[in-house]
Amino acid sequence: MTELSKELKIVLIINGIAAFIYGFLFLVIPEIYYDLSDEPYPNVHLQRLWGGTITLLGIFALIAWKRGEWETGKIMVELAMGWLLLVCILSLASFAYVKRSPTNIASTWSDVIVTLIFFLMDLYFYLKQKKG
Amino acid sequence: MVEASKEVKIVLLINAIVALIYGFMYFIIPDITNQLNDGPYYNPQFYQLFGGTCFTLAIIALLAVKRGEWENLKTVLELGILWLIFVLIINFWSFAYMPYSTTAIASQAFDIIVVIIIIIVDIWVYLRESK
Repeated sequence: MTELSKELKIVLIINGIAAFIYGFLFLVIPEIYYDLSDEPYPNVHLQRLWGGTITLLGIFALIAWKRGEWETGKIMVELAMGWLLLVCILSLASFAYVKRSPTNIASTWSDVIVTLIFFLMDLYFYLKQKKG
Repeated sequence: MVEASKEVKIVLLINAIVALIYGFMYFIIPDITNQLNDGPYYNPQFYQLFGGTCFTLAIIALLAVKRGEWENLKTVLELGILWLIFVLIINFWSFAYMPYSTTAIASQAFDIIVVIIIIIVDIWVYLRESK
């Protein structure tokens, strides 16, 4: 078993914390988050499904960190990268068909930037561990 | 590295196929899916995000099957089981606050049955392989 590098463990914890914050917003307080982000199509059920998925990914990031093995951590980092890239692309694509208020545009842009930063960070440390 | 059994690989393939079907419905044809489900409060972006998540999970399941190592498959199977349990709870919960039509209730009930079947199969194969 190869040990996960210290950097990748920290990255997994950061991913987990960010996932819990977004998970809380979408799963626990979806109505408040709607108001904050001025969401054009409120659908609490889908928001909760989304929040639940994010929370679960956060839990698994922490499980991968706790196990500390590259063999099991690798697939979680790959899942996180694939998922973050998809969220980033879909959020950008949604500008073409979702009518947004200025507040919602700002909120979506901040999500896109956060997602992109996390994707690049995960990719960098994933490649670094793979090479090392 | 321990090689996973044939049953685990088949079960994960079935998971992936179901995820790809749901992914196609929510990601590629969200408008049609919404009309079929008669879903209240249509949100195209979240339909696509949910469908995209199903696609990503299916791809990861296929990747794990291709690698064939139990350590990888175990993590993916655990994620799959817990995610499906989350989906099940949230779907049940939604009956309390979503104004569903009869069609939407039937659609939700169908989804719940599919999810329960997959959870049971996943848990069964996971426990069998773990032993």
